Amino acid sequence: MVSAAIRLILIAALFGGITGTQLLYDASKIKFPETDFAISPKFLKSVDAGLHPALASYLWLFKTRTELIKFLFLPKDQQTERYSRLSKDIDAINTIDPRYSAPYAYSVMVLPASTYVDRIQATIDIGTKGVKQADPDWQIPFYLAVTYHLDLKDRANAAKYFDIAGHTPGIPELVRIFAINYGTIPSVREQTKQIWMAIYETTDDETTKERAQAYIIHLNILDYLEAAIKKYKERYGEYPIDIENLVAKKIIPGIPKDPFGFEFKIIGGEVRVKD
Amino acid sequence: MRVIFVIAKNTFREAVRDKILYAIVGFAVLFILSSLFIAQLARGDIVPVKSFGLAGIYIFGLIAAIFLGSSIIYKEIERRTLYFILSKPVSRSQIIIGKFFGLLAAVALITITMTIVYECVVFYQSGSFDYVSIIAMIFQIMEEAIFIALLIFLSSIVAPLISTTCAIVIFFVGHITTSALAEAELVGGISYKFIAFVYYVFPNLDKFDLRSFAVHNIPVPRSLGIIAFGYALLYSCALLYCAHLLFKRREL
Repeated sequence: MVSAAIRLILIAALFGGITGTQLLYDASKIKFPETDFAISPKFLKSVDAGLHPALASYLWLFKTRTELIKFLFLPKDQQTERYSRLSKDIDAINTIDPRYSAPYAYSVMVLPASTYVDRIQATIDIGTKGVKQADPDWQIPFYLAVTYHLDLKDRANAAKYFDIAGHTPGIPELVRIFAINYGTIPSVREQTKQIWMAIYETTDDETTKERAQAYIIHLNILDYLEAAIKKYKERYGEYPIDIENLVAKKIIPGIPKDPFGFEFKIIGGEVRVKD
Repeated sequence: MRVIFVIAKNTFREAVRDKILYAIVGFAVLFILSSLFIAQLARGDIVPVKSFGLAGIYIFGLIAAIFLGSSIIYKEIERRTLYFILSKPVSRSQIIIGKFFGLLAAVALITITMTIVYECVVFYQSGSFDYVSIIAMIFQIMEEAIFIALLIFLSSIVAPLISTTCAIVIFFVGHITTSALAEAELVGGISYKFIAFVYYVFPNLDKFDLRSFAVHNIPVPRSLGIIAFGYALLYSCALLYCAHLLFKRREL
């Protein structure tokens, strides 16, 4: 009985010692040097026994994503050096599993900064690769389009990627409407129409052609309805409350059918897609 | 046929009674359940949950196969139970085939159990089952069949430790050869010929890896199923036949 109690005390003491040592180690705060991927991703891929998605997920969740978040809070002078390492790490993850969408999506959200030209280019490279090979994720083309629009002022590519985002499954409705509506405000509508017409004329891809045609029809409908609203104002001295008023007052014979199935509303004499 | 069935049934029973098996399954279930923690880290992204879950099923399935298969024949010789079996109207080839099916049934049962736990985790996280992973598991069982045949083959000639080491090395070779061959093609010459020899002679396990299909929900090409099944069947038969030949020559 006594020996059993001693054994129990001994075990408890041993575990107490283990916990104490661990606490001592934690308190010492020894820092291990941070390392890059010392091994090439191609090699990692060939020795992971086919567990590519698991390896990519591990590297992303437990290494690179945390680094990416830390990166945002670094002083500007340290960002350039860290950024180069990060973009290599992201590339490595997507070499191991090219379809894993999270690293692409996160990168196009986090990397762009108009003050760093190379980061804009990296965003474009990562995002374009993501749109081509990752699982469908609306965030990749959406943030890529935002970069094209805000940082590069490239409306043609912005329209292209907003369109891809707008047609990606799982996109929230509000974002979808925004993406589809890109370039429809009267001041830039004509330019957007020209972009889609150029795409329509030059593409060999039937789906892209159909999509471009739908956009041209959509933008023509907006022009048509706004012209009718103008006529309404000239006749009655005020804007109609809704689109149906234009039909009721026989300004137009009927509301044209939108190729995307949208309904319309009037805001200050301009036509917008209904939420 | 009846003799094979009886040996298979006994091997299966013996395998599922092994306490180490419960420890392996317990760890596997814990590992798969830990995907729920991964889900928290991944903030709703289902890809890491699926990839870690499927990796767990694969690794623990192989560990179970190694533990059960590495000493399957050797143990019978050491314990001298084989002499008792051979004194009955049972041939050595019946023992080999019976052991293979019994062990395969046990490992398949473990794989299916882990898959059920995995499906529950995926359903809890995403609200739907992962149907592609069921196909991936069928492919994994085919891979396990080759691995078990290999273990039986090794177990009939060498001691468990050597058999385990050899099986692990062959397993890695089986996964490396495809990329090694692609690299060697660029170099050419004798290296390419050597790797090409390894590529065709050693088990090529890449074709059974459907985890990427399951993780990214990609439909599996039908032809792959036929090719993989044919390959697993032929390779297992070849290994079992070699095991039979070596076992027959052995003086007991």
